[in-house]
Parts: sequence; structure tokens; C-alpha cells
Amino acid sequence: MTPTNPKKRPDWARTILLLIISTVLLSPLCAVFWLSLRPRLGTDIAGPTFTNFVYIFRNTEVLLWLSNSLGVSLIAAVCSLIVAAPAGYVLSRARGRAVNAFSLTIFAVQSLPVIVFIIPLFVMFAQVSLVDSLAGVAIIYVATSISVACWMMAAYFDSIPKDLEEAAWIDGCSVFTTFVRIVLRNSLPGILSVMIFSFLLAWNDYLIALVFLRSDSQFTLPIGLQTFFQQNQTDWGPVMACAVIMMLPPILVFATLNRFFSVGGVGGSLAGR
Amino acid sequence: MTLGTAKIDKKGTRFGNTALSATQARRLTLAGLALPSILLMVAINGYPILFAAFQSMYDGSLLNWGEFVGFGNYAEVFRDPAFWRAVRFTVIFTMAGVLGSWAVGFGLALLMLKPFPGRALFRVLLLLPWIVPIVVSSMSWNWLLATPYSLLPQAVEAIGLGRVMFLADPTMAMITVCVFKVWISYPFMLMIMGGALQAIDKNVMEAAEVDGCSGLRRLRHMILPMTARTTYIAWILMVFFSVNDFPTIYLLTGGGPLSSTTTLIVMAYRTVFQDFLPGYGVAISFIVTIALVALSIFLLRQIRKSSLQ
Amino acid sequence: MARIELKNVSKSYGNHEVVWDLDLVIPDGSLTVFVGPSGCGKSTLLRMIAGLEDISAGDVLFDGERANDVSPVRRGVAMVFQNYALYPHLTVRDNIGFGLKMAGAGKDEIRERVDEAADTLHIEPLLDRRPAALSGGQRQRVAIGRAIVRDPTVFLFDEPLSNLDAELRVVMRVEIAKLHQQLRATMIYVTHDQVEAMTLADQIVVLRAGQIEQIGTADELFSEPRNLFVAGFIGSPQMNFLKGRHIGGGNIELAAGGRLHMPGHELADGEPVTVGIRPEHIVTQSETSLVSGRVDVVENLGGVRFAHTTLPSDETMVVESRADVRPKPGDNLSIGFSNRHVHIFRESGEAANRLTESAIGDSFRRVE
Ligand SMILES: Nc1ncnc2c1ncn2[C@@H]1O[C@H](COP(=O)(O)OP(=O)(O)OP(=O)(O)O)[C@@H](O)[C@H]1O
Ligand SMILES: [Mg+2]
Repeated sequence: MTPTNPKKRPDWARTILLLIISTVLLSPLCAVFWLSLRPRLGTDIAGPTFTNFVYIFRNTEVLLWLSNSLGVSLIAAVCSLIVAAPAGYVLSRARGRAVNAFSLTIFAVQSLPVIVFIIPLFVMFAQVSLVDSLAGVAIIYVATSISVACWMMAAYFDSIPKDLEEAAWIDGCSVFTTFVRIVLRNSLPGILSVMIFSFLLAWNDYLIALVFLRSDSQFTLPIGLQTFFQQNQTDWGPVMACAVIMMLPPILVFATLNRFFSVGGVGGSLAGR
Repeated sequence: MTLGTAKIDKKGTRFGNTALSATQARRLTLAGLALPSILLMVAINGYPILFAAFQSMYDGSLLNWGEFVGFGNYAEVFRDPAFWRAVRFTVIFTMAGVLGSWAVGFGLALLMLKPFPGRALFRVLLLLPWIVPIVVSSMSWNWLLATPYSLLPQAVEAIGLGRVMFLADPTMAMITVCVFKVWISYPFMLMIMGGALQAIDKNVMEAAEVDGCSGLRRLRHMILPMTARTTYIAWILMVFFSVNDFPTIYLLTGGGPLSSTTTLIVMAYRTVFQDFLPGYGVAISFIVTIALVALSIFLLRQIRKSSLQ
Repeated sequence: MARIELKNVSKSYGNHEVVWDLDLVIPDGSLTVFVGPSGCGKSTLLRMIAGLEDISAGDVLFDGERANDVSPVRRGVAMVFQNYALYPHLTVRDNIGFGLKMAGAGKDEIRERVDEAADTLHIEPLLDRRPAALSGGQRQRVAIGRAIVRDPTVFLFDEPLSNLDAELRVVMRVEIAKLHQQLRATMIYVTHDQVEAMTLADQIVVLRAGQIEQIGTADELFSEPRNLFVAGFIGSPQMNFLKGRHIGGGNIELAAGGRLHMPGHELADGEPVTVGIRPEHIVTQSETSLVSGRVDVVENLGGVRFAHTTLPSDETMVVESRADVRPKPGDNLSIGFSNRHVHIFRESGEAANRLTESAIGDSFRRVE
């Protein structure tokens, strides 16, 4: 590496190097876009078209899957926040044996394979008719995101000065009102990262939806898309159009909100306990 | 109106009697705040785990428990050569996932440490493989290399390396799945290690440069030690992500060909949902769980210890 | 208004004792200052009075009533934090009015009282800004505004001025003193700056390692320090300490040479002692000379100079000299002092008890 020199010209060589690396790394994703815009076989349109998109909206349930996916992911994101924010606050502020046990449990839950509780859950959910229901899936999404969500919230709360809460206690707030009116009110970046994280987790999930969602009407995008893919192996255009629809929301969410999102902070905070 | 000042109440005492002391009220509130997460974990993780523990001792089907066989399922699992093959590939897959994604992610983080035109854009772009749904990325890789007529096999043939069957040949499939895992996971490492690199004091780096410590030597003697803790944590997390990973493998190869890319989790899934042997499948996943929980508790202690120093 | 009493108060974190068996009375309407080195437990003590910290053992009484389990609001305390702790999402007006709002006061009343507080502190133009848009001094005023608006019985300040620059610190110090005169409320003020302590306090509590070393007015601590720690802590520059030995009959022989006659102290023959003398009490005329010191460095503060000297015993001594004497490095100073300014400490660090009425005329120290 060359010595730092503030007056140095912009490092275009590095830009070109990264451009090459990115092209290689992102080529599979570029292919998705490219294929989705390619004219369908047997038509004589040249150049990019949206016929594939028109085709899937006409001939598949993609709109339903999309709304299922959006609904489940949004609900999971909101519920995950509602559960994780208070728990994260406890992790960040409370001390003692019980809290150590609590944090150890949360850490251990993170390491459980989803597969181990999916079968008993399936049996449990069958009894309360949550199988083949989006609500049931959403509950499991909240549970799978809970560990990381708690740590993310705790890491963020750690950065909020304790004095602020004490000032609020002295001003007459209870512990709970302090948490809501002072701590949460000043945690927007933390709240957003948790919601993004949980949203993406739910949006991208395959296994849970695969096991729990049985009927077409309940399919989320990944399952719908995979089913569609298996039926149309060789007809890449519509499949990739569907894939584009599926990857756009996370990319958009991430591109606009990524400055709030820091996994690094979570990693650091995990070690602190 | 005076607020919070000495209001002598009717009983003539200033503070009166309250049921709860301030400390008790605080403890109670904190317990209340932790409650939803505890309930959720008990219902969705705790209870099913117990249930699974019992189920792994029966030999029935999904909804019918069948005969009690004690640790019979476990004994059978340990005698099963397929299990040991899966253990072997799980280890390979995990090692490749952890080290490969770390090397790529850390390398990219180092490359992007200094400012250059477009850095902000690349920071977001390079995270895409992690953000894009696995179903989509597996599909794109399928298109790229699944059949002999796909783009990559054709390209390899064109440059004269002969016919390579990326997913049909067991060894090649193992390599392909590992590369796919690295490709999916490097952005996570890029994020974590990028954060760690930025946390290093600029002055320390500059001082090292003045001392003539640069290039590889600086990497070895300065950067690696200073990011060691983060590296350690990132590795641990990635071990969990890899061992528990189901869709990466399932969507690309389904565990084949000839079960060569079957990890323990994929094996457990297939045993339960394709062979309909829940007791046996749960026993497998339970072995993984116990190994991982033990590992996580051990590692958590390790990190705590190292962070105390 | 409140009289606060601490009875056998202890605080420990695990096995780590931070405050130990402490007794203290804070009179109604007084301004009491806690001073002491960093980590001595000042903040902990203050926070126990505030109700922010549990008390491990003992009692805190407000006007004779036990308050251990009472929440901060119900104790009627207001606190000004070192880093102000202003709510970042609220305007200055809402910051100041927050406590009133929590207590359920009406909109008009809040407005009126916030305006009144803002007037007292001259912060009316800032009322619609957010804390991020304020300077350090302005934030400090807002923090004080938040405290006074609630008309509390007790004001608690935890190093409120330590984040301000030196000039502003003096201004704010005076304002806090004025505020105390105006409100006549009980105030407790924590600082590690002894100048702040001396200028503000009705009563100073010197703490070390979770225990009280001495309680008294600024004058008492200055002229009658009870032990070496207080003697060294109060006064700037520090008191000089010289090793010596009581050779009997009230005569003390200094290691640096010279002999002092200090009758009336309860000392055994041959007992090693430490002699303390403040730089400002040293005279450099040859007729009173006791020891001589070589000047190493001279600090010139304008009106005063402080000469750092080395004595024959290798002990160092700081000598204050006024405009007429101008020592230079390398000079030999003849150092002397009058007996009535000398403090004598026994080997344990305690000040030696006096047997008779001392020259200073203050006799409370005779109590055994
Ligand atoms: N939560 C805690 N856990 C363990 N020890 C603590 C805790 N809070 C404070 N201490 C210890 O208690 C002692 C007193 O702390 P305190 O904050 O009261 O000191 P202080 O006199 O205010 O110091 P400073 O002038 O630096 O503010 C210190 O030794 C500190 O390490
Ligand atoms: Mg303090």
C-alpha cells in the first residue's frame, strides 16, 4: 500500500480493480436481470422487453405470492421489534444472575438448527390450525430472528447514555415510560436495523415456508417461485422475471436504509457479555 | 402547585406507604419487559426441543409416535455410514464456508479501506449476494452451471479444459456447493471485518507506516492482531450459519449427487419429510443441536474470558 | 426544603466496598460540597441520596423519614448531570417542562413556569432549539433550568461544570452560588475541584475511598486539617510536608536541618512526625531562616511566583514569593516560617492533638 497523501489524485486504479471483482462476483445476479428482460422464445422482438413480466402476471399467482410475502415479512418485522426491543433493553441495562442466564439462553437459541423444532412445531401448530397459515409462519419468523434482534437492540441501547434515563426517572418517569419515551424514542437507527434484519430474514426464508405452507393460496414468493421454476425448468425468461420481483424489495430496502444497518455492532456486543 | 416537593400527606408522613419499593418496581418492570421474549422462546424453541427429545426416542411416523426405542435411534444413527458421510461433508462445508467467506470478505474490506472513487457504491453492491433471496441466487447459479449446456460448462469447454460437470459429478458438486456458500456468505464477513478495520485507530496505522511497517508485514503484525477478536466472533457466527444451513445446499443440489453434498441438516430434513422417519431424523438434528449448544456455551465463555483481559 | 441524614450507609458492588459505614448530616438549606479524588465514591453517595442507586446497608433519611425505598421523584430531588443528560429529541422548552408534564401539570402552568425558569437563567432565546444546537454553557443552563422548574427540595449536582472551559466555569460557579442564595434550597454539589468546593460550600465533606476524612467549612479545612490527606488535598499549591522527629519538650528536629519549638502537642519523645507548612506561609527573610533550599524552577503567575526548591534532605518545597522577592533558578533561599502556621502530623497521618489552647484560638480539635 502506498503512503497516505491527502493531495493524491483519486485512486482510479482501485476503482477499476473493484469494478472487475464486482463484475465477476455479481455476474449471476446480472444474469437474472438480463434473462428476465430477454424476449421470450418464439417471439420476434429484439432487445429488452417486459413480456416476461406481463406473462407471469397473467399466468401465475405471483401477485398473491408477493402480497403474502410482503404481509408476512412486515408482520414479522414489527412483531420482532415489539419482542426484541424490551428484551434488548433488559440485556443492556439489567445486571445479575437471572440476566446472565437470560443472555446465555438467547445466545444458545441462536445456535439451534431450525430443523430440530420444526417437526414438533408442526405437530403443535396442527392442533391449533396454524399449519398452512401465514400467521403461523410469521410467528416462527419472529422466533428465528429473536436472538440477533435482541443483540442488535441491546447494542444500540448500550450507546444511549444511562444519564438520560436517570434524568427521566428524576423527572418522574417510571422505568417503563422511560424506556418508551426516552430510550425507544432515541433509537430509530437501532429500530430500523432490527426491522430490516427481520424483514429480510422472513422475506428470504425458504425452509419454514416449505414445511408449513401447503396450499397455493398461502405460498410466499420463495415457494411460489421454486414451484414455478420446477414446472418451467427450461423457460428461463418468466422464472427470472419472477426472481427479479423477489429480489427487488430487499435491494431497495437495503440501498435506502443501509446506513442504519450495522451487523458489526452486533458482533462486537456479542462478545461483551 | 408544587411538584415533587414536600407534600405532607394526610397521615402526616411524607412518603406514605407504598406496596413496592422503587427497586422492586424497577426489577418487576424489567422482568415484564423480558417476558414476551421468554414466552416466545419457551413456546417456539424450548417446548419443541423437549418434545423433540422425546420424539427422538420413538420410531413412529409424523403424527403417530410408534414404539419407544430409548436411545435406539441414536445408536442406529451412529452406526449409519450415511451419517458419518454427512458429518464429513458438514465439516468440509463449514470449514470452507467460514474460512473462504472470511478470506474473501476480509480481502475486500482491506481493498476498500482507503477512499477511492465509487467506494460507497461498491460497499452496497458487494453486499448483494447476501441480501438477495437464496431461492433467487440458487436459481441464477443453476442457470449458470447446472446442465452441460449452461454458460459456465460451455465456457470451460471452449477454453479446452474438457467437460466439467459442476453438479453431476460428486466431487465437483461438493466444490461447487462450497463455492456457492462462500459467495453467499462473504458479504457478512465484509460487513463485520469492514467495521473492525474502521475501528482501528488511524494514528496507529500511520505510526506503523512511519516505522516502515507496510504491506504484508503490516497485515501480519498490525491488522490481524488488532481485528483478532472480531475475526473470532465472526467465525463463530459463521460456524452456526453454515452448520444450520439448509436451503443453500437443498436448492442447488438437493443433497446429491449420490448424497455427496448431504450435510447433517439436509439429511435430517430428508429423513423426516421424505423418508417419514421423524424419530430418526430428529435424533440426527438433536445430535447437531447438542454439539452446537455445547460449542456455543464453550465459545461464549472463551470470548468472555478473552474480553476481560 | 429538607434536612438529609445518612446513617451507617454502606454501598458495595459484589465484594467491592465503595462507601463504608458513613454518617453525615446535611442541614436544611445548606450547600454541601463533596470533594475527593477520582473514584472515592462521591457520585455513588450523591446517587444514593437521589435514589438512583440502591443502598446496601444503613438508612437515608429525609427530614427524619426513611427514604431508602422511595423513588427519586417522591424524594423531591432534582439533579444536574455532568454531561447534562438533556433529552435529544425534545426542544429546550420541552426538556425543561418534561418533569412538570410527567407530574400532570396543565399546559398553561408548564408554559408559565418554564418561562420563569428561562428568565432566571437567561435562556429565553434558546427555548425552541434542540440540545444539539446549544453550546456547552447553554446546555448547562438548560440542565439547571430543568432542575429548578420543578421547585425541588434538594438539588444535586454531579460535577456540573467539569465539561466547561475555565472561564465559563467561573461564571457558572457564581451563578450557582447566586441560585442557592435565591432559592435557599438544600443543595449537594460534587466536584473534584477544591477551588469550586472552597468557594461554594457552606459545608465541605472530604471523602477518600468511601469514607469521610473531614467535614467542615472551607476555613476549618484550610486551617485545621485533621490529617495529612485533607491537608494535602485542600489548598493550592499543595501544603509542603517535611519529615522530622520529636526529640522531646516540644522540640522537633527536621530531616532537612533546623529545629522547631512547638510546645503543646501530644507527642511522645522520639516520635517521627510530618511537619506541614503552606507555600504562602513561608517567609524568605534571613532572620527567621530555618533551612535553606536551592531553587530549581520558578513559576511566575503574575502577582505571585512559586519557587520549587530542593532542601538538603532532598525533600522538595514550594515557596510562594510576592513581587518584592524574585528568586531565580540556582539561588539559595533561606526558608523560615512562624510556628502558628505549622501543622504537625503523627506517623499515622492524623494531626497531633493539642494539649492547650493554640495560637489560632480555635479549640474544637482538643476533643479526644
Ligand atoms: N456499577 C459499578 N460496579 C462496580 N463498581 C462501581 C460501579 N460504579 C462505581 N463503581 C466503583 O465505585 C467507586 C466509586 O465510584 P464513583 O463513581 O462514586 O467515584 P467518584 O468519586 O464519583 O469519581 P469521579 O471523580 O471519577 O467521578 C469506584 O471505585 C468505581 O470503580
Ligand atoms: Mg463521579
